[in-house]
Amino acid sequence: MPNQHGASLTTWDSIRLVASKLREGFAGAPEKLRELLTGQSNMLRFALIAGVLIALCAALLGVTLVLKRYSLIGDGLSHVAFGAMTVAGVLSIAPMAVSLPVTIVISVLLLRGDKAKLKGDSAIAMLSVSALAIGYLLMNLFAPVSQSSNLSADVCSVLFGSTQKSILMLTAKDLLLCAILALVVIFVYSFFFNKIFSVTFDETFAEATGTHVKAFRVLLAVIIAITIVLAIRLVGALLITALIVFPTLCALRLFKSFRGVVACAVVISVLCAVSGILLGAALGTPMGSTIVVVDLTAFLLCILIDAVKGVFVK
Amino acid sequence: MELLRFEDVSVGYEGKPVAEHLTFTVNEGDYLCIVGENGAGKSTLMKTLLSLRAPLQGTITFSPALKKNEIGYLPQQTEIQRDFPATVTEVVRSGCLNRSGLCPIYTKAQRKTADDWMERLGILPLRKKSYRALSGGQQQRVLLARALCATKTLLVLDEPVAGLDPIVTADLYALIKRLNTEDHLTVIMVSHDIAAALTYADHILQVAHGGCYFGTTDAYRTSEPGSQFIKRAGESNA
Amino acid sequence: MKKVFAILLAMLLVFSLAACGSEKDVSSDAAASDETQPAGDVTESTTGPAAPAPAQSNSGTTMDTTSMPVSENVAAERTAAEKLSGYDVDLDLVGLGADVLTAQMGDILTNVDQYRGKRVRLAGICYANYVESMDTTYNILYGYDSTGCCAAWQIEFYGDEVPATYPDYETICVVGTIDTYDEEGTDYVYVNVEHFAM
Repeated sequence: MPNQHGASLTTWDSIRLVASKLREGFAGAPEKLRELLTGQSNMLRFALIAGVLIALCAALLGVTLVLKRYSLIGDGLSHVAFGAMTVAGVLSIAPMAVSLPVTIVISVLLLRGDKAKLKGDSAIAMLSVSALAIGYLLMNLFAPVSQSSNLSADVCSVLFGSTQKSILMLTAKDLLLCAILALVVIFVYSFFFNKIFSVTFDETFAEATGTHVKAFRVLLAVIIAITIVLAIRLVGALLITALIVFPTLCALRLFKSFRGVVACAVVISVLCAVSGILLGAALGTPMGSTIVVVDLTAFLLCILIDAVKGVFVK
Repeated sequence: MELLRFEDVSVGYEGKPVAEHLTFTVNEGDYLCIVGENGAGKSTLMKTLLSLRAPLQGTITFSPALKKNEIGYLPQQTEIQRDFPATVTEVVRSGCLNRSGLCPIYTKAQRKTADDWMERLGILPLRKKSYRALSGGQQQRVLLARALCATKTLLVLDEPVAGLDPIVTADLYALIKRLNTEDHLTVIMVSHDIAAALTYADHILQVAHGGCYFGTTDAYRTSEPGSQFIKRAGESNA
Repeated sequence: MKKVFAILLAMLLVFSLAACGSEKDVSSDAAASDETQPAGDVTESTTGPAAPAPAQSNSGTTMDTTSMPVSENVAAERTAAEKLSGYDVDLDLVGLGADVLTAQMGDILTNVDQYRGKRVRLAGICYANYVESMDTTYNILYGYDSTGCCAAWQIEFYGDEVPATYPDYETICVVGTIDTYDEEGTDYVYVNVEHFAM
């Protein structure tokens, strides 16, 4: 961006400027965080609670999805949720009232397995881009008559999880809804933990020995959809795959039992989400991207640990 | 005592039959081997037997002593499984789930069953190891232990020795035979290996397009379709 | 062994945050603030005109960022805010990230009772909106979101210090207290400006 003094910045200057701003940000972080955490507004406290719950759910489901090679389903479903939210905006209905059922239905259709009409990664790709395009088209078509004052801001906020509908702007009601849904997901996953393991590891065996695999697929699809709709609030529709994939990938490198992988994924996911939120609040960086970068850093660290371990152990 | 009976059953997909006129009976304590050429419908038959697919025609009768959730199944391994993070114990215990109902944890009895089978199959020392770090033969034993946890009556095996080296193969066959004779498990095995089938099984079901042959192994050896199949298989192996 | 590494990783993540120690000597003395706060409200008062720029810390930054060429908006905001850096405020909203500022302003507008009477320092873009049907001019202060594309928050501002006319779309800074006024049955939140800088 050109500046008013007439001399444009060299690349090196820009880098130094940004670096110094970041350094200032880091230096001022503890005070700022203390202010925000103990201050009057509930922004950061609510954001942290919601962030922990959402990260927990995403990690649990991430293990199942990654192991079943369905990693990109988060992307597909989040775009579908985006499309649904725009339809809701156009019809002036609460966004979650439309996005949650629609996402659940599409999720069940996608994850029904062999007998699904929509199969595999091409189905996910098709749904993903169609929903995104239709959503944005609808938003533009209905912009002159819509209630929302600002089209691009809404799009940005849903896609990137920042600006107006960011995780920092949860009302108490929002937080309650989020907490209830997250606790449902956590409860279901814990209760059916062994069966989920069996269905993830070997569906044919589970079905042949009498487990109701179809019912489980539907159950999993429903809780995946719920988690994704919640996670859009935290990191935005475009970055959801990170929440699903990174914690599991880290855990797979560190642990060898299923129980261990799930526990580790949850811990890493929650730690990264909390760090990301605090960093974002302190440095003023967009929260979704910050969380994902923290996740990436954790993953690189895990690779390092794994490599070092390979040298020393055995 | 009769465990299951197929009467003029056709199996296939979406209305298209792959194998027809299948008629055979399995009694308690039998060791039945299902052989046939590729594409003859062995896997489809197996899936129908396990109630994973409905038969297109004919009747299948299960004895009341054999409930659906009491069949032990050893399927072929998928790629996903070879790389799965799970300890041997977790895999074997998952075989007990068919009788847990809604209970979220494994009972003491279930854990004991799992440990007993692991010991019987010689894999107890591996119980804390990661499944993906095991050799092919060890993984098959783990899956076999899992199948055994699911049943006291019937064991269904789908090409259990696929991809294993000859020594491990022989060990596994011997183990399965012991399970049949000593533990009185009924065994139904799908196999490409006609030689092993003739050695270990006491009944043979040969599935071919248009029909099947079912009989005891001795009868099979001397029968028309049997001797032809054996000769062809022998020629291709020679 | 792996568990040790996992714990190590967790500790690394935690410590990497805690390592952001600051040698900034800021006295957060409550004596400087005018109002009595409800328990748990800890805000900083900027004491004295010591800080040359609002966001700069004196914890050893070797670069003098004030003299570096920056983008117009940032420079304008910094200049305006600098002029009002000597006042004691309960809530300093200058220098926050766009996301946090948007959220904070949203909170102020939603829970205005908690913020009524609090002194704030706020910088943003001004614009006078004359509405014919009401025959009044409303002074609007607004700010952009983190992508820089759209206006994310806005609040009205009035006061003796506010010039009767001012150029629209300029960056200004105000120090004032949060209050509401009633117009035709609805409460509108505004900043009761005590000091104004452009």
